[in-house]
Amino acid sequence: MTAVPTGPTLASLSRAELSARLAHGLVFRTGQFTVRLQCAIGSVTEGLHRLYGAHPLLDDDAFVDFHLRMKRPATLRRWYRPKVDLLYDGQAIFKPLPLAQAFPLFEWGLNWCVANRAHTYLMIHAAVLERGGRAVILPAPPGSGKSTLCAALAHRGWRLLSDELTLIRLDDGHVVPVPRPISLKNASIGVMRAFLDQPVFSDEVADTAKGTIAHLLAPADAVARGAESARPAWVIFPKYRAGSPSLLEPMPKAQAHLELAQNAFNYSLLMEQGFDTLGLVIGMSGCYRYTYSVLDEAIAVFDGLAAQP
Amino acid sequence: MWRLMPGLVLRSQTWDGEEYVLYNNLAGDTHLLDAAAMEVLTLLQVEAMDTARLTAVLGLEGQGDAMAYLTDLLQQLQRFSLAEEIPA
Repeated sequence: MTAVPTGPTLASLSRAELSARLAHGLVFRTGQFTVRLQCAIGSVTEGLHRLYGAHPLLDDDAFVDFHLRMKRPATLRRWYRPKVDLLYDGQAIFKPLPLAQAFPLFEWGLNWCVANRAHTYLMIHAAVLERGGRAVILPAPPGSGKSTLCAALAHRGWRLLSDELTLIRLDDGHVVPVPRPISLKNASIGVMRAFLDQPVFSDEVADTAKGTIAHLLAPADAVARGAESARPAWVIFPKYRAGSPSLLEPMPKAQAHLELAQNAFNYSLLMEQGFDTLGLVIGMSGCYRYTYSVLDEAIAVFDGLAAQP
Repeated sequence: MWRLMPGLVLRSQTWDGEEYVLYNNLAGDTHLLDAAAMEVLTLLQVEAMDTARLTAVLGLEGQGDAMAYLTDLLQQLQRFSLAEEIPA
């Protein structure tokens, strides 16, 4: 366990101060990573102001893992159906997107940075949360209800480690947090607006490649404990199915190993080390498939697991 | 005669002794195998064997269609590039 870092957070900046810092480069921390973002786009400033208040603010000369810059093109497209570019180390990593999608573009860009650069970890496309020092890993393809379930658990007693990127330390198999806003899309946005008491969202952005997107504020405690890793205890493959009863079914560990590998970004790159690390995770975890349709029932099942010794 | 694919290292994990995951260091693939397949690979790691000897070592002599199933298994392992048939 690591001490909770103290020091200023983005919440110490007024919106005007945040905008000024962003104009020449704002440096902040998310979990293990430090980010420098240069950007003069109002919707990004607003998104950070709303959703990144608990993230540690760093000095301008701090070591930075990811240098990001968002800019509007110096062409007619600055005004005509305006676009925005995201640059990583000065190079565009995606094709330009409509200006209205600037904040989701920043979030996707940060995901890209971690997924393409953090190879000192085994990276799995999965949500991950912690309770009592034990982590539950939720790997699943889009449309499985993973992010909705993750958002609900993160606001009902489980600590959010990540909604998208499960980072596994290679030496001991423990999960390292990257606590950031939770990405929700389409019907999930309305579900969480109804489920949570006064949730804080980014503005909804329609017509993205993923449909309508909104980001939900990560609980401040999860962000503050961004240096605190957790031991895997459960690997659960969730599946939302309308009208389904809540059904938790054990699955063979070898099968879970294979399916978890299929959800890893860099399993092949890490070769034997990836295989062994995944084996560590599976060895420490109870493995299940979980089908649900009602969030309260799902939370009761997960709380039941957490209550077991 | 059958032998383990040259250069293959049997790096595997099991948690119940029934199902195994095996990392194929030659291809970078991970395979899900049952205990019989793993036993065959482990035997072939020690030495190349023909089907008759494998049948004997595994205690399958006179066990119905066991030899036919063993042949199917060996051919499947060859398709996965985990074992290969060589001239006797």
